[in-house]
Amino acid sequence: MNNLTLAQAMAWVQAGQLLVAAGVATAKTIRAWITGNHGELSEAQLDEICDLIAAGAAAHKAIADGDAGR
Amino acid sequence: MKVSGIVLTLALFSGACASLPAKQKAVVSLQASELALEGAHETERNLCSPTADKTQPITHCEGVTAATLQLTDARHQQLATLFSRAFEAEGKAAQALKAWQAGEPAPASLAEYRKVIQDTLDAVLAGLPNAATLIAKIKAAVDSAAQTAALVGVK
Repeated sequence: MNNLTLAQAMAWVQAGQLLVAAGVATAKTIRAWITGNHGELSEAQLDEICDLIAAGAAAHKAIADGDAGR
Repeated sequence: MKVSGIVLTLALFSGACASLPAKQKAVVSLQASELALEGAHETERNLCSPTADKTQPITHCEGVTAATLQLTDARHQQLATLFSRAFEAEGKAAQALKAWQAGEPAPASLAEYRKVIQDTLDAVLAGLPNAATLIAKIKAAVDSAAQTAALVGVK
């Protein structure tokens, strides 16, 4: 993820693909969360969320680097 | 970003459950920090140039709001550098938290992330003291990062 170019990062953000990807991963997570009465998440679900955080951060880092002239 | 907002809302409500494991609470609060920081980044770019093509690098600030806030090209570039550092630190924190288990020593990257976004907030407070929305969003990111750090035992 750290090798995302600005164009790739913006494509993800603008097209909502990052959110779609997040939705795919989190739909299961959130559904389990709700149906489980806000219960405990599995290690795999927590891993999904951590990966999504890292992906979102990488996309925004690429955008910031573009603005900073890097 | 509406989906993110829903996820954040659910995450915040769920994160309030006292019985949840520390790792889950930490992951949820880091996610809240991430979403707040993304919102802050987008707000700053919009303040710099509301009309620019957001798919391209923004290197020139224009418009009444940027002028009123004294958001110059140089200040925007400085903030972009800080946002880049913050997102890089956040990515490392997320990977470290993924590997972390309750009872283990606190990952150093979480303390680093907390420090870097505090630096970002300090820079905005000093350079753009009237950018209330931007400041509020970065403060939210800082608060959630501090919560994450506390949950994993960062001193």
